[in-house]
Amino acid sequence: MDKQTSAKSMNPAAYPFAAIVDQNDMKLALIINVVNPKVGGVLIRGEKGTAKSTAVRSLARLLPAQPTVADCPYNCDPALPCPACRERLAAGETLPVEERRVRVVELPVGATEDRLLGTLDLEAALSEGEARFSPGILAAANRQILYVDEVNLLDDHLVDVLLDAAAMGVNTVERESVSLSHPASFTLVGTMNPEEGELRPQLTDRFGLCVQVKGLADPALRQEVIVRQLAWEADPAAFAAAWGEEGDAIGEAIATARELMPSVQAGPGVLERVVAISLGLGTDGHRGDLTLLKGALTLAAWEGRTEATTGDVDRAALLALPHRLRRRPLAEMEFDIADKIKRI
Amino acid sequence: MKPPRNIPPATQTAYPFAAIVGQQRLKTALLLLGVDLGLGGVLLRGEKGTAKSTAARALARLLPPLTVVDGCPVGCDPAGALCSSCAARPAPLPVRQVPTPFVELPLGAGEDCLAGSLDIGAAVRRGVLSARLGLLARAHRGVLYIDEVNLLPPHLSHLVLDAAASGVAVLEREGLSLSHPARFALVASYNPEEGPLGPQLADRFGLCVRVKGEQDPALRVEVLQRRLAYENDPAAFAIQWEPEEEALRARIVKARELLPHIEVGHEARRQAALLAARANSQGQRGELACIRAARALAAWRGRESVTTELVDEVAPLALVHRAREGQSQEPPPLPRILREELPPEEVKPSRDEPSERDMQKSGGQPGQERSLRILSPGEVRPVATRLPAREATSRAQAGRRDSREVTGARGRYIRASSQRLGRGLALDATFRAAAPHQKSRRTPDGPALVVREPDIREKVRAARRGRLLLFCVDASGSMNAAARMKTTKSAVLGVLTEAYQKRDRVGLVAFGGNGARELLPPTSSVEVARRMLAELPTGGKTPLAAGLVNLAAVLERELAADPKLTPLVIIMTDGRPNVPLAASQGLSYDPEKAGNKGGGWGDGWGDGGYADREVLNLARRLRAGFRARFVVVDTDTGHHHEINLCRAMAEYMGAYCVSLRRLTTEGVLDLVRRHWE
Repeated sequence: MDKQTSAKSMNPAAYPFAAIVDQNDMKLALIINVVNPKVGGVLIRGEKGTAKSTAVRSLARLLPAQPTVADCPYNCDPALPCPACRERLAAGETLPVEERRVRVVELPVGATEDRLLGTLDLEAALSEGEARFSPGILAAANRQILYVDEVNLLDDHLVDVLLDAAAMGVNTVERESVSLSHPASFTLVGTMNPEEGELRPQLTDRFGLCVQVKGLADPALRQEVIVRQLAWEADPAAFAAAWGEEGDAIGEAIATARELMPSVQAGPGVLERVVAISLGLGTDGHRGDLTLLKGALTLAAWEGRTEATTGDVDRAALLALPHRLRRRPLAEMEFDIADKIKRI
Repeated sequence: MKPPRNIPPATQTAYPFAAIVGQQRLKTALLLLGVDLGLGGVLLRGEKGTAKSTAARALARLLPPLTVVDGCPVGCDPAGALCSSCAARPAPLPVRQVPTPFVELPLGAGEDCLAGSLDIGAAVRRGVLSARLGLLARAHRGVLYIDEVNLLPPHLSHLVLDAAASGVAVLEREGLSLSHPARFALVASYNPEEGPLGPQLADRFGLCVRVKGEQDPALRVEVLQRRLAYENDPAAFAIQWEPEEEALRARIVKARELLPHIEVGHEARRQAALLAARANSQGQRGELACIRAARALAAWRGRESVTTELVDEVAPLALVHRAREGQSQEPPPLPRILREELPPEEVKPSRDEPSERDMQKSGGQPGQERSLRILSPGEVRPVATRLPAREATSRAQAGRRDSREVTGARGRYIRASSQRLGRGLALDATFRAAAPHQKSRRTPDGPALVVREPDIREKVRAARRGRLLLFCVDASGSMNAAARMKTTKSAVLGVLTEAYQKRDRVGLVAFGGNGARELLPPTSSVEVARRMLAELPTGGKTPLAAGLVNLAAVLERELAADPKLTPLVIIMTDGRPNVPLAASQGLSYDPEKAGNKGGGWGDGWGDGGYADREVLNLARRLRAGFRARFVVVDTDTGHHHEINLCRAMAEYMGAYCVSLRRLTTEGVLDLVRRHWE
């Protein structure tokens, strides 16, 4: 089992999420995704050193533990077992269950196709002469957060496979004498530095939300970053403890929002507003509409309401649409679309 | 623990076909395919997020359950063609009912998974050569779906299309030789933004649908509502739509029964041939597809024969992807470079009023009409008086991101080779090679699998493609046009001969008379280049702007297909444009204004003619719009008095400008070598 979990695991003493200065768009986009994984992931665009991976890692620590079949290579949910586990149940086995925290599974840029998808199990082939599947990173990422740093530098065909799995929640392997599919439903977080090249439009579109992070401009805030960073380095444990309460509050709020999520309804005019904004801004296709709506519903849940308003739609649009607007060649992505939305 | 095969149906209920909002053409095409699997597949072409794959999945769910031979790996129809193993079994064959299979061909698939391969387990343990059938077998009588078919390696797409056309899949590898029936509804989709689908490939699909997002707000709200309801509770949603699904299903069953009895009369055949000819479709596939589709439509509507009206109705579906360029009803889309607004200028021209840029930003919808206005004679505005700073970032990265031959562990694993070059072990192929010998090699206490030296297979990996060189050549009737074209031709052939093993490609755009033409779409074949460049038209005026627009279209297409490319573009002209773009595009313009020379624009370049100004505007757009390296070759022989625009153009493009008074093939080749890294 260890083979497939070798992807970098979480640092036990991560910088606390609550202590990250500013970067509110990014934080909100991440939270929306963990409250409602159906939103479809987030693409974080921005320079190096803007707390992107810190935020992802520390957020995972705030998430409630989830019951997991202990020895399932796909970390499946005992209440919704994967077919392999279902077979075991049918055979009269009892599945060992344990409460596990959400992990951040990392996909390194240099990963090969076999590592991502899984491959032929060498040991089984040699010892038993059987073509058996050895699960890859997509299997390990099921029900976890899959973090892809510099997603724009990933080989094209890997990105294709990755986003296929992200869209379907299933990884289908048809190679090297292996033919199977397994659950691979994860919260996809990708980061990229646009200066190093763009992501293909089809791939960008598959990310639910997109935010831009910038180095902080306000000197006071920058100072605050340094102060906190130094405090953290001097005594991580004390620092973590000092921020523990706020972190717990966020964790609880996420848990509450998750519970609330199924009962959130779209208020009057919300659907119409979604469509008006999409048409008004000229986004392609319908995927944007759906993400926008889900984003608005999730925002309402996050704020403890059971009805999403048109205001939620307008706010969600800032996260759900920037990467879906048609752009000029090589032009920067527009993130300041608030005015345009207001005019619609 | 043995992982199970194909999980999804248990966990996911597909979106019901009946619940798809609008998209009439899409639905018609898929229903016709459902009635007649022999239609040759449906190609869905459209922007991202327009329910292409949803519809394909929904089709499989809609199709009636099948009666199959129990225990048959292919799922033979007891009443139809049988596979070899079923044919060998004694009658009567046991049967059972199964849902219509939906098989998706993932982009990462290998050939062995598609066609099938040797069953390693059986070979090792029992020493039997038996096949493990692939996706084509599993898709028999069901739906085979390929998303992003334009990104599929060509050898795989041909394999699928061959099977789709013949209804038979052939497996010839590793000592296996067998064939089995493979009649399936092929549905493929792609987004043209991601690169084109080769015409040979497109032509092999029976029907093609252009899918667009719904623009009517009310319908769009409906789409959203249904989708949300579906996602909240797929099962309940499916139950709600089941009556309608069932009605469609029953109608398909009835139409299938009716299909063999539909008459196709002379009139209908003639109409199909006529329409196909009018669409300028090559070969006979167009009219055949028309007739087949019309027959399926007749069955769907419960008619007894195919009328010309039915042929007319299906013709758009059957012919849209076969119409040859220049003959299609829809005008080709404007290249992006003309559709989109200029990026804000970094240096303001001296005469620019402060409000002007704001006006440009807020005014109207970006679209054909508006953007043409930007370039039309009356609206041409001066560009910057000084040149904007170079975009350092995008160009600095260019070399690093160029995609090349892959030797390491990256790239797609396409096949295995017994040649030993140290490329990394292809486990699966090695085992398959070793498997048949296991019975004789195995010793009682030895390992289960004995691999010997000759069994070793290595992985062959493929990168996308090599480099791209584009020539944009002035073929106008000036003194040295013929020489220029001839030299270019031999340079093209020379580069291709040199580049043969590097997979580099070369293309040629020529401009002359009133317009520009892509004489040679980028190719790596010396033969193709020789054939396409057999005739070199020269003469007429100098529509340099049209040449640049055509060049932009080629660049746009090629870069969409492979964004990692950094093409080298060589523009050869004597720099005297005299045809405004409006004239090239067949639009009216004020000839007096267009020819209005003198006065200049204050940047010291050109003499103010609109044709000149357009060229410089386009030069700037080219530079901003594409990651390419430009070289301008000034072929002016130097006895004119008019100002030559080459140097100005080069500056606006951030390009090198080279003056080649005496053009020789070797000179051009030298240039290419020097600038192509």
